[in-house]
Amino acid sequence: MTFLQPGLVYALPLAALPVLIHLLNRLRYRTVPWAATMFLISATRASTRRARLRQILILIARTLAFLFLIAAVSRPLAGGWLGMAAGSSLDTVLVLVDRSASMETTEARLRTSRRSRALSLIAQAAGLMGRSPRFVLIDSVGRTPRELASLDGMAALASVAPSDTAADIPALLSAAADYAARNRTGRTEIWLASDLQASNWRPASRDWARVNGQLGALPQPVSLRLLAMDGEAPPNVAVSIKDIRRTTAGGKSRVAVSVRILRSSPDTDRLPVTVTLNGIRTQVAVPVSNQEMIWTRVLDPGLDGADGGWGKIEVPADGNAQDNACYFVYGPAGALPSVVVAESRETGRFLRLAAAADGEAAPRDLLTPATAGTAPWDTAVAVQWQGELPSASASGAVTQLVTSGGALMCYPPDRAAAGWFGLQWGDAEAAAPSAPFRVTTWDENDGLLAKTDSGENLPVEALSVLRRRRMTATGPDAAAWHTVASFADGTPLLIERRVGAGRVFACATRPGEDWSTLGDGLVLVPMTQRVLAYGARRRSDTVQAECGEWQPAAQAGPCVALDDAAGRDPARNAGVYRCGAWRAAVNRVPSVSVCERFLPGAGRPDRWPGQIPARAAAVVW
Amino acid sequence: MSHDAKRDFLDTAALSRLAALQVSARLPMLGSVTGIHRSATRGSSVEFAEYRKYAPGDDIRHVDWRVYGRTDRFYMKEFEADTNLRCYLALDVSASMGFGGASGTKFEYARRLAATLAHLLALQGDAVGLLGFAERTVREIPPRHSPAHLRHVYDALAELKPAGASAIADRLHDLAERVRHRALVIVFSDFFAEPDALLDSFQHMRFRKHDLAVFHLLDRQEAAFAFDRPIRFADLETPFALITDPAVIRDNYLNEFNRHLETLQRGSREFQVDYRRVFTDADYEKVLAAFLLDRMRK
Repeated sequence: MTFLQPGLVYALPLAALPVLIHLLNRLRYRTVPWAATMFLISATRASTRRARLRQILILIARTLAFLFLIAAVSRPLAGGWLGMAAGSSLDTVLVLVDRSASMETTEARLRTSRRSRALSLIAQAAGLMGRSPRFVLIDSVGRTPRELASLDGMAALASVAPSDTAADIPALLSAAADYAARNRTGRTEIWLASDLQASNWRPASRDWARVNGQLGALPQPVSLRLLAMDGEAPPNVAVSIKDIRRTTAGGKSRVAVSVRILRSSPDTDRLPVTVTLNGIRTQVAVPVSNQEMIWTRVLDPGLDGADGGWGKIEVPADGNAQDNACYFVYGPAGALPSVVVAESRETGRFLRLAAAADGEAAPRDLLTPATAGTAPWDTAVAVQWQGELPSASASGAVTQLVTSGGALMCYPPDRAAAGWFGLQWGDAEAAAPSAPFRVTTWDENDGLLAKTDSGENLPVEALSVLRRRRMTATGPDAAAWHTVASFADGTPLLIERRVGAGRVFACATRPGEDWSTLGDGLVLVPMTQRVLAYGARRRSDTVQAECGEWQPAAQAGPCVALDDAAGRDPARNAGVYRCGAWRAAVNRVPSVSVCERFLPGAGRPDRWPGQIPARAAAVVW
Repeated sequence: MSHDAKRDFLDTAALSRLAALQVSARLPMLGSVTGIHRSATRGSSVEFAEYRKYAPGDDIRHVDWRVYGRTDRFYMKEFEADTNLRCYLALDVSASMGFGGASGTKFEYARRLAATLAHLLALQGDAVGLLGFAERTVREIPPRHSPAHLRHVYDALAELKPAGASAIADRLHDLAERVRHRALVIVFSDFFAEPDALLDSFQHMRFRKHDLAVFHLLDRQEAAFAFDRPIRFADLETPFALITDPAVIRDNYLNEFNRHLETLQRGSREFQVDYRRVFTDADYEKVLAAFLLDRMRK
């Protein structure tokens, strides 16, 4: 037998309290001088046997009352035969709804979205229960438990409406476990409706160990019921924004939009795409060949849209309406001023050239850490730093630049020293020219070393590194750093972290004859340009964000959809919004378009991520 | 200590109010002097008693000649003899008499009754004596009818204190044997003793032709037994103590107590003992008045 308040079981000795009080009372008598003792003696003689029996019965009754009280407060849960005898009805059902964009897929046999079908099935299942338990709804967007009287009208609630967000299933289960632990929910079942998207479930995530630990620590056994909405999906095309750039062509300002097109079945060679720029729609037939491709469209914003605007890319309706459109906003055109600070003139020269590759953002001067205070920090969007930390004034300027949305790229100093934001540069390691350090692992999908717009990999594996410095993250935010690329021996080449609204990168080697072939430019130039692009956010009043991951600043005021779509919320719905002076394009998380499931077929309990706690039985409907 | 303080059991106002009443004997007494009480022998009072046949040796002055004239038979005319009364005030001074609440102890109440009766008896010229007893006789003053004798009785009452165990039945047997002439014996006690032994002593007293009156003195607490928490009852007469829960034994206690009272009352009626049950919170003046009036009526 288990208890919801196991601590109170230790109060069981309190059941002996009546006996103790009885004995104490017998000791706590008062003395009365008495004359009629002869009657007392005979009365006691006559009463003793009956009185003793009566006293014992009273003591037993009081002790039992205490035991029942303690048992009631500690809330026992009966299992096995005892539980069967006591009844098998549930106390609480926690309904978890995956509201990711992929749940809007309409399966041909269902004629409704997976989400709607799941809600309908859950309501039917609830209706079949004899005694109605307490229903608590937790959706993947808000993850805030909400108690429902019944599930009949659940489908009409805004908290289960379609959204363009991704779903964090481990966090959703963690919220359910938290609720069960805090509210002592008694006999509980967790009903989870999901389409088993791998990007939402993240089966390899360490979060599963924590979730399973939470479920295992619950005082009561919990049953998990998975409503797997993973039927065969109809043909689907998903579009997402890959990149937005302001370019100049023929002296005219343009907006270059790169769109990733993902098709579940390559059954056609031309795809009708509708492009909307500042409210003006244009239809284009895009030749498509692969299942996944990047399509770049250069748009003329015209005079009205020269200083900024918004746009939308749409494909025809298909199996999932949620991934048929993506949105973008852009700011005014202009140079992206940056600063290069380097101890080594050779390295500084390479970095300055890489930053000036488009001819517009050439840093004025090459500065050293000692002279860094003279840099135009107010207008700069990015800084490339090779060397030790500067004086306090320059240090404050760099910190302010980064936290306000700028980008900082760090290269190793001449000697081991402390770096920016908790980074520690270690001793230099050298390799023989015949056996240089090689980069074998990097993120080719996102970040500084991602593929080019035309889908080609950067020649990272061709880099020849003769010298590198080990990078160690220290301080309380050490965990904020993550590795983007690493050498064959696992030593990081490139690491990254967010600081405020900006980003900080650090590279273990630097361009130069003694260090590496980064100076060839094939990797350094796109990497530096992307650093500048990240930093451009500091100057722009536009935000390109992922749904569910961005919230307008409180002072920005209420957000209004620019495409006249009513009732949309940037926290849940993709779209273009004006929030005060800011324009924001909010898109669904691109990963939700990748139809990869971690539980193929109907799924089996033994494929549950991590080790299911013995107390939490998993059942798949 | 002044006399007034020592004799706080005397209430002069009550004495004066009760003076109009007299202590009457319910049975003929054998007194040495003339008094207000009927004598056991025929005497020379004016009150006709009965006729009886003449026997040789009778004083012919008492022959009723009128009857002889009508019937030719000699009948002797007899008259009641009035004599005085010997009264023993027997006061139980065992420790149990020291029990009492706010209204005072049973001993104090008994002493007040005894003192008042002593005063009334002396006032009507009767001889009054005092017997203070517990396990043994503590103090004894033989009956006298001189006015100065009353002071000795008061002094003795003032000096008595409740102490020791009780052997009331033995003491009453002893008194019954020692008092040779008929007497009025008034006993003040709580009678916490075996009822059979008590009734034996009553019967013995009556067998010796004594007029026996008993004041059964009780405290309300003894009769109600209204306690709620466990209590250690310490016996007043012995070192015995009993720890018990009064709520548990209350019913049985009251049964035993009431049975005892009933036995005594029934036995007293059987042996023509003037039995008076008195609670110490009752007005002693009313108790005495009722006692005296009842006896005067009989």
